[in-house]
Amino acid sequence: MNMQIALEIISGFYIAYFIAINLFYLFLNYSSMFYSAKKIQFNDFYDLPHFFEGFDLGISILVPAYNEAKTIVNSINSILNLEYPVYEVIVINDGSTDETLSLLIEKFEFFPFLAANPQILPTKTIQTTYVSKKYSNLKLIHKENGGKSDSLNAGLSMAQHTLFCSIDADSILSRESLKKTIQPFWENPKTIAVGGMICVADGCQIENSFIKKVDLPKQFLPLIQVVEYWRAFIFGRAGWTPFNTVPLISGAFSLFKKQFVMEVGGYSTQTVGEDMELVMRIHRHMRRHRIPYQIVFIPSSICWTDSPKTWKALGRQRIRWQRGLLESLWMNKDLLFDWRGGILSWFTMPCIILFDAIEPLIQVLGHLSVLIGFFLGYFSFSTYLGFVAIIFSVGVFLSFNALFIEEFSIHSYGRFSQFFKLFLAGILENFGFRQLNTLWRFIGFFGWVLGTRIKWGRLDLN
Amino acid sequence: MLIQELPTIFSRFFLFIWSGSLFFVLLTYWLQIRYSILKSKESKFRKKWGPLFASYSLGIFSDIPKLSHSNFDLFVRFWNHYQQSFRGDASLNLNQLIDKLQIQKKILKNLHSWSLKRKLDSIIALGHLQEINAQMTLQTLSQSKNPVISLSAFHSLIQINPSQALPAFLTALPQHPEWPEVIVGSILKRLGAKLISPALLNAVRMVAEPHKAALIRYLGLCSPEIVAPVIYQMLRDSNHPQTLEYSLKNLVFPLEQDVLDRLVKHPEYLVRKEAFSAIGRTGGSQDETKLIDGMADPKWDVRYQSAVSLVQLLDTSREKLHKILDSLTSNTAIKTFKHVLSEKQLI
Repeated sequence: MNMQIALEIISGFYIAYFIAINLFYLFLNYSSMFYSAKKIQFNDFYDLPHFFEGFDLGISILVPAYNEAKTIVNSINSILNLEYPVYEVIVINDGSTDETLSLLIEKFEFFPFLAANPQILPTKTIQTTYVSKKYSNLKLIHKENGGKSDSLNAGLSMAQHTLFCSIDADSILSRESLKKTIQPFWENPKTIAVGGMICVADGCQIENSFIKKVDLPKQFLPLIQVVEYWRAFIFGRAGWTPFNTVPLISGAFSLFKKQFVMEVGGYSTQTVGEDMELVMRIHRHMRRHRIPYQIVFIPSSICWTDSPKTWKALGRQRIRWQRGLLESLWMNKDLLFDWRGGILSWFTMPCIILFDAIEPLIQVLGHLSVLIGFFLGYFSFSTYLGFVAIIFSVGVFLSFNALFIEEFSIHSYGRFSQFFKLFLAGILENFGFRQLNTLWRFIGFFGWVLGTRIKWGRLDLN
Repeated sequence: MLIQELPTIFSRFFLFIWSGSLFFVLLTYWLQIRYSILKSKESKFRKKWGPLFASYSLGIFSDIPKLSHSNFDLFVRFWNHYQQSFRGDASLNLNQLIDKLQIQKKILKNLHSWSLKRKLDSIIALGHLQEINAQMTLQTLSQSKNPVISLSAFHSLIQINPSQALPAFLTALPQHPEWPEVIVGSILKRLGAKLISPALLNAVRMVAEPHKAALIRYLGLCSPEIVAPVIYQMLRDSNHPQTLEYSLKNLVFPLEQDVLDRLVKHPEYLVRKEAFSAIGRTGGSQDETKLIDGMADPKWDVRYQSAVSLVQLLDTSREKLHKILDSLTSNTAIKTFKHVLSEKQLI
């Protein structure tokens, strides 16, 4: 009898949690829907010719690279062909052990120069700094291995423009990405950071280092990640933008005002989630000093990236993401319920902790309690099945919602068959993928609790 | 109790959720169909009207087909695109297209449309048409809280009656930090230095110190001889960092030594940086010492700018540059100077 009461309480709590989390997702979903609708209203205005001459803010593009020999030349070529008038590219070779450095020197005709290495932000030793003979706006820093954050800090010390953009070496931008991403800086001088959408590049046709034709991946895992990325970016970024509480802008493609990143001390080398930690720290700094600011997510500005193609690689990525999330929250824990923090401290952060950080823990324990209840005969088979069906259905509903927002705001995928595949993926991901993802995040949670170390390196996607 | 009732709750919720999912599937496909129809309509429109737009812009006024009601919005949007790309005669020639179609009234009517997109298209079009009858409504729209609408309305008013609208626009400018600098710059640039110089200088003189910077940043678009005295005065009298920074950015003639001495020692590093940058553009051999001192500044950006300006000032005379490098005593200055020299392949 006591067991039954205990199970009723646990499952009651789990159901309440389940309702709350889905209401929360719905809230973010509709917030992002209104935000996207508002954003696309003036696309035509910004697309008009002659609006982009002069007065452009210069951008320093930082590309940290560690063993990226396979992709680095193409990536740099694509960056050098972006449609933007004033920018420099700084590649930071983080002590790669493959041919990254030699390839770069050969292809872009780099020559070493006597850099002062001002070390405005402390980094590992910089061995050589190069300038390209072919492109006057291209520089290369060769330094001791110190991780992604360390590389970005080295690049930041060398950056000369007001804004800087961090891009992963294996990412591909659309030609007009920078032009689109810069818009919030024009519209509101208080804008200090802007993040773009990250999409899965697998399956897309690439020509001259740019996406020529958008298509879906042929493999099952990357296909599911297309839906998953949309859901994550719509909920976790666009949904928070109207409240100015975007907790994370992806390190794979983000644009910052350099001054503020310098003020908070650059990227932290103490976490694998350096992108989220930096955004949280900036929020904290700006709110504490009561400096008006804005951090924005732009869904129409797209960066294409490779996704993990094996379960093993995916698992490693997810464990790492969960660790990054928890580390970032922990490092900025004093922002929680801070009276100066506003909505971020009193709503966004508690929601992220409750519905994101500890979610895998509650999911696993909740599922276990329902399963135990079922095996001990406290729940009927139909109750258990009904519960599982509801979880699946809500997952499908939210995925379909995110796909609707994609079509509504971007239209990346033009064919009927493509959306059919995406809808199908939105259903199939509930059979195994989501459960595994929860398990990986659960492992990530315990990895963080136990303090096991994760090193930065090129994620083997195959 | 709760457990017993769960299956009924679940089944109802299950139905509700799946109906919702189906609704979004249908909505997505509906959007896709709508998007495909719009795209095909647009491509047909381009095929039919593209050559006419081109010939009209060249002054060849051929016969035009009837504009269907469903193509009206598309026509205005395309027409605006062409107008934004042309100036002078080509722009006036394009106006003929609207005259022939006699759609001015309809465009005017759209100023009151509930659709922001349609409203915006009509604001832009009426500006290009220099439609005097739109002035009143545009004036109201220029007070809109929406920055895109207010800025576009002001732009159109300036196109219709520059002498009246430009001063009003410049007075409103400091109150609108949300107006994109690139677009404001583009509007002013299109008007030309002759027209904007007196109005901008007058606005700079009238506005209070903290708002001056919002206007000074556009002084580079004016005639340098006219703005120079105002810039000199601000550099002499002001101590507002942003005013000084933007004034220095627009400096094209040499500055008095005592003013320059004060600015290169200003507590705000951005002012120091711009002062050294101005020396690179306008200075002479008498400023070498200042630049050499600047290379030992605590801020990297200032040090770097001083070194760049020194190279610029000495016009890459290698011998002179190397002499300076040998004479440097500060380690920081040596490092910075070497950095810039090797970056420019002078070492």
